[in-house]
Formats: sequence, C-alpha cells, structure tokens
Amino acid sequence: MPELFEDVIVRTIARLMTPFIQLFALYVLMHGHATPGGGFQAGVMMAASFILIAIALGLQEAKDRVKQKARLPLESFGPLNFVVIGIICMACGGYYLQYTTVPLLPSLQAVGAILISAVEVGIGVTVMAMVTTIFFSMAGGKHDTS
Amino acid sequence: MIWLLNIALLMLLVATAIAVVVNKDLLAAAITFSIYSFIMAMLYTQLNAPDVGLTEAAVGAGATTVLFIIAISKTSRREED
Repeated sequence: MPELFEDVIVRTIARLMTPFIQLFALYVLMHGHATPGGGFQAGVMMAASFILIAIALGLQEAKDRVKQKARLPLESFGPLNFVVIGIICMACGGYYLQYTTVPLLPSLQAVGAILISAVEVGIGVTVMAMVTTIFFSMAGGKHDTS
Repeated sequence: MIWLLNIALLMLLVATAIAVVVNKDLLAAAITFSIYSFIMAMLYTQLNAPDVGLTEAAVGAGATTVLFIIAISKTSRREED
C-alpha cells in the first residue's frame, strides 16, 4: 500500500469494527450447517478483517497480527484436516467422509455434526490464511516475501 | 410488490455492468464493480440462495475490490488504448 491514511476517525472505527467482524465470522463458521455460510465465507470474512486493519492501520500492523510463521502452517492445516478426517471415517469401516461410521458418541447425528464442524473449521482457517497471504504479497513491495 | 424491487435491482445491475465496461477510469470501474457485486448479492438473496449471496458479498465486494485497487495502485489509473 502506498501511504498510511492518517485519520483518527478511520483508524478508531477500523479498530472498533475488527472484533465484531471476527465475531461474525466465527458465528458464520459455527452455524454453517444450519444457516447460510460455512468455512469459506467465514475464512473470507476473517481475512477481510485483517485487510481492514492493513488499510486503516498500515500493512505492518496487519502483518504483526497474522505472522507468516503462523500463516504457513495454517494454510496446510485445512487439507490435512480434511484428509485425516476422511481417512478416519474409512478406518472405521465406511466410505471417505462417511461420518456416521465413526463410533465416537452414541448419537450418530452428533458425530456427524462434530466432524462436519471440524472440517469447516479447517476450511475456514485455510481460506483465511490464503486470502491474507494473497493480499499481503500483492500489497507488499516487489521483493517482499513475507 | 417484490417484483418491483427485483426489476429495479436488475436494471441497476445492467447499468453498473455497462458502466464498468465503458469507464476509462479504472479506479471508478473497480468501485462500480463492487456496487455490481452488492446488487448481485441482493439478487441472489432474492432468488432464495442466501449462501451464494453471502459469498458474493464477502468475496466479490470485499476481497476482489481490494485486490483490484492494489493492482491499479501498482500500475496506472487511466486506461490507455
């Protein structure tokens, strides 16, 4: 980004809005099975909160909040989570991602809800890390790799 | 009466789409494209697809507009032809 936007109203509103955007993203993530939304939308909203921080408070401030050391493992967490849960379902005697075969709880629907939520959390984390990485690498300088 | 809102939204959609294409100022075109995305999100919600509408509002209006503006700030603002 070129220069920092030095306006106290913009900075204060961005600082105040960020936790609410992130809370709404978590709501969309955890209610994705019942209401509109899911992992991808929640991840994009979470990334949008960091983009808001980067626009209002500066790119370095946003990079300090989501460090590259944290982003790189988080990008790989979602697919790994997806594969591991699918393989667990196969190991319990079902097809890939057939949640009802996992003997975790007596209620099959509860097992399905828990595992669907786990997959959604992985998708959300990965999308958040990827979108922030795309934004940071586009907004940074020519040789900026962080 | 909801069809009046739908027709108004569709006409606005066509108008913003034409404005995006014909505008030589790329920053104005990017902002107009985010308006297009918001209208599209409202139309998806009208078509009983709130999931797609939420995605369109988050990705189309939020993320891609920021990426377009970054791309414009790294190149030139005016279109040359």
